[in-house]
Amino acid sequence: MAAIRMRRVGRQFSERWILRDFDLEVPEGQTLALIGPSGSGKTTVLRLINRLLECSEGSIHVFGRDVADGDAAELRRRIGYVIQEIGTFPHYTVQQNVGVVPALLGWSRARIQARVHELLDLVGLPPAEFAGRYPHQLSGGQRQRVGFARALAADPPLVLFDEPFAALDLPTRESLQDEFRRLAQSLRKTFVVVTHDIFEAVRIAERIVVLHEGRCVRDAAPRDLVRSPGDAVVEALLGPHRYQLELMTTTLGEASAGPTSGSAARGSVIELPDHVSVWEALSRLSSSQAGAVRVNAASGARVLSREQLLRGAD
Amino acid sequence: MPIDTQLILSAILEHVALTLTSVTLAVALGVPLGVYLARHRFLSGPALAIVGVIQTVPSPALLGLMIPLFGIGKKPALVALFAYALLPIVASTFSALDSLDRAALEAARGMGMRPTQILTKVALPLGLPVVMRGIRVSTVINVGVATLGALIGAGGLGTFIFRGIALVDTPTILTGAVPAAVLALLFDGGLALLERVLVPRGLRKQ
Repeated sequence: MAAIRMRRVGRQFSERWILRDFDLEVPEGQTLALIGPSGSGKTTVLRLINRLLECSEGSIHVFGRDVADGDAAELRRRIGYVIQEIGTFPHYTVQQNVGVVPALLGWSRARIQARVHELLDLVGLPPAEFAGRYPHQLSGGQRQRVGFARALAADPPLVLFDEPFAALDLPTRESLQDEFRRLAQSLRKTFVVVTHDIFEAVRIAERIVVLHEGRCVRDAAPRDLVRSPGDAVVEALLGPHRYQLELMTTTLGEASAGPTSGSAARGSVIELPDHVSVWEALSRLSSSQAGAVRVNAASGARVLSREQLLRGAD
Repeated sequence: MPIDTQLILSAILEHVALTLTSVTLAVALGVPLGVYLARHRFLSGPALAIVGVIQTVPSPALLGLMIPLFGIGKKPALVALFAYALLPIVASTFSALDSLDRAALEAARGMGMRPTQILTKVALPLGLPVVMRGIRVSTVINVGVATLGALIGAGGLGTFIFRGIALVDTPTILTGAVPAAVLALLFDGGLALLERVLVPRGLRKQ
């Protein structure tokens, strides 16, 4: 059963269609990025799913149930929701923030506390240190971790993220994106992320849907999107970063060694598993000042030099 | 002229009763009204203007205007004081809720809180510091305006002040004025303490 099924969905704001004829099917467990410029309708899609907005036309099913059936507040308690870091409640402690939805669902205090501690551990905020703090005593990145834990608190099978990293500085954003990827892989929940950042979409999603003026213009896996944009809107989205994006969507396992130069690579060698992207391998090489990577795969180890990696996306 | 301490004490109690009763009534109506206006913003302009007009009537005149409606005594004084206390409370509640962090409200809705839960669990606690400021302003104003209650037979500390003025007797004026000033300070301090207790810890600046 699909986690989300949207059929011919449209949303109108005072005569203007902000989204029209939109179809989307998200299988259970998938991490999907909705990307597009502002005004493209991506946030509208997200808000229609948990009924922060109502459809003007069409239908949305979440795990087989029409979202229009029943109470919107009940629906939202079954769907996780993350907004930018400022969405934490400043008058609640970390523990109370994370426990909001379980409390709304009427869980016992002991059960809420146990669950909150489990989640704080999961997002890397040791409960002993953080449970009693208030949001203003946390950094932006820590607040966003609280936001993640809060969305996961009642163990919803579907979590919606509205530009979750947009307010963070770059290093924090990247480390949280890694954290996000780790959570997505280990929890196997359905994640839908709205973003305007193609690098973010490529880093965290298994599938990217590009929106433009209220319509879907491309729906593809990151590596296909990057290699064959197939549309002027997607071209514009990739901009001058296409080469980097290609390296980001090529794993070491896929990188062809190319003609061997014969000479051994300069400097030392670092070891990496084959699922690491070529881009990340190059970054590691730069920061460790090594000259080559040894790729460990089931089929055996290979050594790739910096030059080979740079050609590797071909 | 000797002044009976018993008399002063009962005047203070009358004064306290007038102030507290009128402010309590103003909170009971003003806070819900401010909440209502924050939810129906198109009404907020006209409604705040109407409540504001009351504030522009000079206080002795307002008290005088109550006489044809409610006669003399405590009742007209209470109504006038209540009307006077209304504006700061309605206006502060409205602006507290109107200027709330949109993200917190959006998150509350997205988490599945119902409108009443959003109001009681998020909006009011977050807006409380601003609402309390309005209540403090109203209370301090009313301690002063309540002295005029003596003009229409409501008793209170104004009795001494106006008697003193009539007799050109400064000690008698001070017998009313000093306790009134002290009351204003005490109420303000008391409400500041209450605010410290009520405002959630996470909102207090370190």
